Amino acid sequence: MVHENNTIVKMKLEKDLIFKCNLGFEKLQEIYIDETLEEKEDMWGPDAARLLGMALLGCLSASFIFCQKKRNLNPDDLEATAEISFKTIEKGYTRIKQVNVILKPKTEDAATLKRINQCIREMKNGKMLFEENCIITASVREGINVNVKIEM
Amino acid sequence: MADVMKTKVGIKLESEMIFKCDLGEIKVEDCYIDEEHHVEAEMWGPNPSRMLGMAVLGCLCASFIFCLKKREFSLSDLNANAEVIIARNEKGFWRVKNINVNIDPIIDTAEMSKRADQCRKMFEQYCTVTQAVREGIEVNVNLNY
Repeated sequence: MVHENNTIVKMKLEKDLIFKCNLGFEKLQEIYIDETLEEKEDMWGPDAARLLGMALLGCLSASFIFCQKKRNLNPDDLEATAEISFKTIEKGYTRIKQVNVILKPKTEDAATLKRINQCIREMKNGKMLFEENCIITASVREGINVNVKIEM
Repeated sequence: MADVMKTKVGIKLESEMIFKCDLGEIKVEDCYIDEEHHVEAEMWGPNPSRMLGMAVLGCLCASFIFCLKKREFSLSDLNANAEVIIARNEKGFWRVKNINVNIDPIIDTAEMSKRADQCRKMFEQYCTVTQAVREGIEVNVNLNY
């Protein structure tokens, strides 16, 4: 998003490879990071790669909506997905290869549609205008290929 | 972790700048990303910077424990924190500049301490997320025991 403050997050080992997160929020009871790589229905919470995907999705979606809000507009709805792909590098370690993000905003309003087209305008660097306001995506892009598509 | 793997996550707009997470069948009842509120007590969930910090933290701690487990050592306890530092780049945009990680495991025995010393040299390499973001973000790791 446009600006977030420096922050500290904490966690504690619960058991095996399951960690209890402390994000400091009263309204978030319990969240776990589960790296046991069990079946999805057995997992206590997301693994680190899913959290990274979620951070990218949240940041890009908020930046997209922020761009509308600058003209006092809002999409009627928005859904987004991120597909995270992995690769094995020459030393045999696994790395995140790329994250493919799709944002699906919905609107019936002509003014909002016009503004959406401004927000997704491609800039000189090949990225869409709103992407520059996303702290997370721009920060991790040196190491991970993040592809962003808008579908309407 | 398998050689090639894909995973998918989703979100849906809830209200204003609050998004509901879709983590599939994973046992998370309600997960929100909140870019609307700025007071912690009012926030429905983490903002993306906190999520990124938590991803790096979880991945590094799991990698360290994984390294110990390879020699059948299990930790009785571990605490960890990550400080996410955000600053403007040369063009004036806010970017994540540093993530400073502290990992405090309880190392009970001399044998485990010996293995922890070995792991200290290599566990970061096992962490998929940290190594991937390191090209763009400086991640400093302190392992304290």
